[in-house]
Amino acid sequence: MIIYCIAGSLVGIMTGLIPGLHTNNITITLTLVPFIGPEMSLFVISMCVSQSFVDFIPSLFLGVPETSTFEGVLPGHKMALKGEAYKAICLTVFGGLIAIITGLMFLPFFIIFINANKEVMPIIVPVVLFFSIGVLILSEKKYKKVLASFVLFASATQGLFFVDQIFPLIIGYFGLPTVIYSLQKEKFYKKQKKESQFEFKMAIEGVIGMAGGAIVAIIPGIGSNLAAAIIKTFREKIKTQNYLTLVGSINTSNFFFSIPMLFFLSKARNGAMLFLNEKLFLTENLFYLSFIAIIIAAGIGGSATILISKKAIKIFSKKIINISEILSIILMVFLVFFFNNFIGIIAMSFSCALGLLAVYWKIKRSTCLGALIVPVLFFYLFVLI
Amino acid sequence: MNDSHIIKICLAFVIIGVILYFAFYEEEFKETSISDLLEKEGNKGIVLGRIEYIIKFEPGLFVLAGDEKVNVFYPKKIEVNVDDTVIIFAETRKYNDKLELFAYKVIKK
Repeated sequence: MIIYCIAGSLVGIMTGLIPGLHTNNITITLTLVPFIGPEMSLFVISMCVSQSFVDFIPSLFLGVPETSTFEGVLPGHKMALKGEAYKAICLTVFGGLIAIITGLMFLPFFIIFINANKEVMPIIVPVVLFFSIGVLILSEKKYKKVLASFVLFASATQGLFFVDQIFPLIIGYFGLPTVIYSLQKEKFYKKQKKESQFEFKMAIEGVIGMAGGAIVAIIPGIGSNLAAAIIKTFREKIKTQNYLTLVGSINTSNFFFSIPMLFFLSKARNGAMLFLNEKLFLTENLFYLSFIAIIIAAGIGGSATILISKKAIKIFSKKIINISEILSIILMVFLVFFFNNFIGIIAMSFSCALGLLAVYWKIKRSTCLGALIVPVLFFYLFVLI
Repeated sequence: MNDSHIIKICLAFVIIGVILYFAFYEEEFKETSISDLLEKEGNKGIVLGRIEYIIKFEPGLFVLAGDEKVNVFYPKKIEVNVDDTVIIFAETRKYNDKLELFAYKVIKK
């Protein structure tokens, strides 16, 4: 069984290097694999954990925009613009590792909490979702609140209209716009430093991220990006370095806590858990083994991320970045067509237009998560009524 | 802290994980027969059999015939028909004082 765990970690490294591909999307491809026993559950878990570390590489190394436009794209690019992409990667890995260590300590309390509060979840969830919508809009400055409201309303409409098209919508909001926007812009490619020194007190951000990831795992519709955006709103002066540790931690912690959510409450919070629930299974024994798989996969994924980025800072040039960006666009469109057919392409086109609008208006792209939040909100409101 | 410290932590993760794996791992499902599985409540195993009768499709409840006949409960929808040969990852559980199989997974062969 340990072979499946290692193999899953290695596949996670490969898939993590493909820009725009999320764990939710990768597990869709696994539905094509015939069932081969409980080992497959550990394969999927290991794959997702190692991918949660590695997927920072393409998002940070590809599509680095020019200096004046980075606010509309990704926070990690700020460090890449200073030649500190490698340090940025180290910080996200550090955040992920802290999330695993503290998550394991926090796990028994989390299990007690979800079991004790499963009856009140249908009331808590819509309240938190309303709160998140409020934060998304109010955290924007001045007139951008109006623009954010428009993006939120439009994405919510798309989410309600394109039922069962989550994959194309996510690709459209988050995958394609970054790459398309970056292709159009003059690249600001600075020689990256090998330096990676940072202070250990950054671990505090990892702990905060772990708590954020745990909350995200409880509440459907809120992704790691949105959780990070909410935490950032309350800590306006957070430094980019601290923010990256936080994001790295939330990303890993979100997946970590989605396992007890599935096992104890049968709630699948991401594509991997949905796959596990529908195609595979988790016994009590497998539940505990899955945390051992997480530890191994985090070790493999984390070290691979550091080693690959060390190589990447040497070989990445404007030409390689442009080729990778074009290839990633082709791959994303192909995957959407493969899994969701023409309707997927239509959904992706609309969501990509909205995602690009968010980038050009320089508002948080998490606002596009209205496509997930609002349908979930409606569902819970109908349940309560 | 720097990159080499992180790599050392990662290495420690792998070593600790592997040690924990060998300390706690035991094979949960082995190929067995229905009669062996029904010897004791809590037994787990993989059994092969033919679906003799379907009581309910969702959640799945059916009679499985192998070296013995037994009721099988599967908490999800079953996509099988009578006379299909299936492989089941199951655990023996008591229902109404009678031993039956709780299926974690039903695979049509």
